[in-house]
Amino acid sequence: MENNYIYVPDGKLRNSSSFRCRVPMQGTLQQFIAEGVLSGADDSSVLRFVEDAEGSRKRFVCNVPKGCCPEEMLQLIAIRNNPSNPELDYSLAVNMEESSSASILLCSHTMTHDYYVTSGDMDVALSDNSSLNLVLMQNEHNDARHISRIKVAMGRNARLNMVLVSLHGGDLENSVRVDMNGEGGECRIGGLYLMDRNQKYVADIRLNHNVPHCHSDQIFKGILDDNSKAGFSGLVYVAPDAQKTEAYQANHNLLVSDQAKVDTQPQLEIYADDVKCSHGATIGRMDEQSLFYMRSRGIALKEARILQQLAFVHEVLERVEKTELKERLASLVERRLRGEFSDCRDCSKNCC
Amino acid sequence: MANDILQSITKNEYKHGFVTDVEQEFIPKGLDEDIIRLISSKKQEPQWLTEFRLKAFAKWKTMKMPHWAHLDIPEIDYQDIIYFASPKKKEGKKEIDPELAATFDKLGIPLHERNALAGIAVDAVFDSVSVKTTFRETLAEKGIIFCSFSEAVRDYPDLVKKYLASVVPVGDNYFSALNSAVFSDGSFCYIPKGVRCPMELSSYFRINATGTGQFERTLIVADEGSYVSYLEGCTAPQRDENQLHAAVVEIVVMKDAEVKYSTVQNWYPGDAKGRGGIFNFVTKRGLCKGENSRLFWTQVETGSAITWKYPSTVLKGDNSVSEFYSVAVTNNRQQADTGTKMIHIGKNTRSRIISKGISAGYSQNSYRGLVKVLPGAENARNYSQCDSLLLGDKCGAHTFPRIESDNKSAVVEHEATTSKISEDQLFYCRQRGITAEDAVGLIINGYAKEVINQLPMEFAVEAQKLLQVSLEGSVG
Amino acid sequence: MNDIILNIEGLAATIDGKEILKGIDLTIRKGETHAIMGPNGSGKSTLSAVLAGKPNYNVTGGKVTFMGRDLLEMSPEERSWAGLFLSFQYPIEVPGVTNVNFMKSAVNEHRKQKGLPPLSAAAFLKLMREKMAVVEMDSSFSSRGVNVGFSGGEKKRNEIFQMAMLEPSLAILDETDSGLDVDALRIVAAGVNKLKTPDNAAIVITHYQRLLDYIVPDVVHVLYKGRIIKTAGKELALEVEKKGYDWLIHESEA
Repeated sequence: MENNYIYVPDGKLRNSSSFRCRVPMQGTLQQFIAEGVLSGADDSSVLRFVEDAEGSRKRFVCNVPKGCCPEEMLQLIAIRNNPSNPELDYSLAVNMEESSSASILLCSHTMTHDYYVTSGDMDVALSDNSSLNLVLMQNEHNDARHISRIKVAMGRNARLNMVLVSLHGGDLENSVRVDMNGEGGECRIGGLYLMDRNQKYVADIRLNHNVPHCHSDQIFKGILDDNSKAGFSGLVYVAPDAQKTEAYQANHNLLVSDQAKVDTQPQLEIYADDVKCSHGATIGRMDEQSLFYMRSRGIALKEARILQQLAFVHEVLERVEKTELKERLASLVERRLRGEFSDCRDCSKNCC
Repeated sequence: MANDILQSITKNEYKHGFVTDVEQEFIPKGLDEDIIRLISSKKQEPQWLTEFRLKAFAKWKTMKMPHWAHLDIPEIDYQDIIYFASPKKKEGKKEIDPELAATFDKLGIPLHERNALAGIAVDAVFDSVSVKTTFRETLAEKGIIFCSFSEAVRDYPDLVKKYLASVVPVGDNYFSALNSAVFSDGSFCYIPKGVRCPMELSSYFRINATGTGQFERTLIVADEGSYVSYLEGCTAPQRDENQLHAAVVEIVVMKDAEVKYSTVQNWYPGDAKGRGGIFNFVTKRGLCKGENSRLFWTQVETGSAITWKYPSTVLKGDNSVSEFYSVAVTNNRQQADTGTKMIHIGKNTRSRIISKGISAGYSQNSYRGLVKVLPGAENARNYSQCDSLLLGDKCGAHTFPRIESDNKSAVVEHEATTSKISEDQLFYCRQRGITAEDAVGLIINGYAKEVINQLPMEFAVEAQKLLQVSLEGSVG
Repeated sequence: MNDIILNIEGLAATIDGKEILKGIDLTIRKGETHAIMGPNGSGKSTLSAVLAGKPNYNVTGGKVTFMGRDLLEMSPEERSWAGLFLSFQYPIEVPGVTNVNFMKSAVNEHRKQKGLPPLSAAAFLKLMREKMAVVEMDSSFSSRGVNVGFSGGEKKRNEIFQMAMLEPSLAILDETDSGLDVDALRIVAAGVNKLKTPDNAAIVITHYQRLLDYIVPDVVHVLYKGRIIKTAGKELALEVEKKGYDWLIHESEA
């Protein structure tokens, strides 16, 4: 039982007992970055981040060696808990060597409802034939601002499956740039954002098909409540001669309050002809007919709304490959939608 | 092999590239307040309009050329353009100059009413002036005003004053400011309350003189419960120089009224190497002012070296409806950045956007759109479908839509696809004995059909031919 | 004098570098109906595609003579003009192009090749009506986009209608029975039989005996791994129906 709870060592956190992380499944390696300080690394593990300073800037690197395919998933938990230095900037790098594969879950939390600004770069390099499952879970307080800039470079036959779950946060900005530089690459990106109160979310995605025979597939979905705002800008670029490209992008939004706002800009910029590219964007409302249908079967309106919202986000969560993690995230999303996170201002525990 | 076929098909031939040899009157080239006063005095304009122009010019001088479009626009020397050119009136002749009549005949626009296309009234604009408006008397019987813009200023100053710049403010953009300062002629059209216009109204714009620009201004007002279908066509001679065409079109649609505005744009596109061609920088906007008003845009864009054009609708009246149907073909070195804006303000407003881009040769073809739903636009609805077809591997097709919604009851949907012409369709047609060239033509016309179908019958046939001509040329 | 319509000698073909046909020999004479059967992946559809000249299929060997001409030298449309018709297994949708316009282009192109003037609109519509009756097609189909929104059965009927319009000397029916219910099958087969004359011929490609109950073949070939492994009379189809292909494969490999 105790195995399921990790207590962060004293001294790293202001109030260590306030943070517990329930491991979503057996065989998960955990590391922490508390206020930019790395801990919890298991030296015997291949799959781990190590500090590798880049000038004065903090940098943590995870290098997965050639041909190495660890079974375990690495969970990196980034925590903000010291409001006296609200601004924090560090970078992460994941380097997948040839024919390696790995699963990495990156969670970011704020531990108090103070003002925090976290900016993080993440460089992901996927060498030929490598494969990475990358899940980012953002669960921060309303006064927190988090900017993450993710840059991905993909080699021949490399595969990336990335899911960004933005569960909660005052001001979240995710920019992702993927360069598909080797033929046969496959890139899947899923994004989910659940915003309420005065929260803001921005996604800025650029996916470059620089070479032929690559496949990309993106879907971003958001539910906006109260006074929240979301912006989505997604460009799919197909270079001259990047023939046989297949690229899909979708952004769907559900507005559930009178004040919520969405601004979406999907874009296609295509310079090769033998391609199949499409994008779609919608901003919509709850489907009255299905709400009525559910109510006529005895489901209360409130519950019917939640069921519909769950159905709406299902497609993104489905992209998480590890079943246990998927279920864990699904239950978090459900609790978030049911308003059980409304006390998030005071609590960040037991969530991941 | 498909590429060989496409190459032979996409060799372009422009059929309206001739020059009319007619004595013309020019003003000196260049742009300053004196030139603007000169244009205004040539047109014998009232003081208020001269001031309108000068204010616009002052505004323009503070503005910068927009560079946000996906276009590579060469530097334009605005001092090197002649802003006014008109064919010289022959002394004492009331009838239209036979040279000009022959020109329009050759373009398929007969100006003598006895030869005219059935059911179509034409305002023919040659460089900076309107040379003839047909069927004016017939239309006047119903109270419909259809005349050149200059005549409207003289004969209906109150109407012009009331609506000029009411939809497109002078400072809306760089080119609308320029147009407001130097506009020459264009059409004016007013449909009174409850009148259904019995004919198609149409303006035909012809650029002829070298070194000039054309700055037309069109204003259409459809009063309560009226209906009009309006069409414009454009051509220009084949020249190595670029010529500027910066028009402003404003449309006001009152309660329960309906306006159909169709464009077949076939300005000279430049040659295969990208020399010459018209720069078509146009601002068109309609205001669905009253309840239940309806505005339908249809455009077939095959010409121009560069097209920068976004016919838009402000849906202010509750239950108002607007649709935008577009086919844009680019070939050789042409560039087009075109699309629409639908601004939903009123309740239950609906809009629909269907855009079909076809790129060939070394051309760049972009759809750019904005759908905006304001907080008060309860139950607003938009659907957009933007498809791009690529013919050949040296061209580009781009899609830049933007959707903003501030209302939870609104439903906005956008879909877009990009692909090349289907090898399977091509083979299927050929197996049935249709030559590869014809098969491509057939498939492209099928692809554009949803848009072509929106055009008035007489022009649908023209547009279909134009699509073929723009992409074909050496078939057979 | 010469009653040979199609003569195939040692035809070999690849697609994407993969060898599919490995030496086909086949001779078809006027008035004959040949059935080609075989398990999935044996090369049946490849054979029809190669004969019709589908791009991306690479002929690596052999010779094909059609109506005395070198078929492999001809473009797909030239083959059509020469009288070769392929009824597609999956007829292609051509959105926005109506059946009328599609067939008008095709028929008039065929006429042009024969030095005939285009048909007048009235004559063409009359011909359309006549030929649509062959497959009991409703005239409303003529104004609909080619195959767009058609059911499986409607698409196949449309194929046979087109065949009726173009009057080919050789019709290749590629799995025309797939996706058809019994009624549609009967109508399509009856259409094919009505079009049969002593001067033309047909190749019927099928998985099942079912279609051959309606379109009775003179000769049945079994294709396996890119070769014809057995040729016999119509009774072969019945035998295959009963016993499957395994015994033939064993026989050929023995």
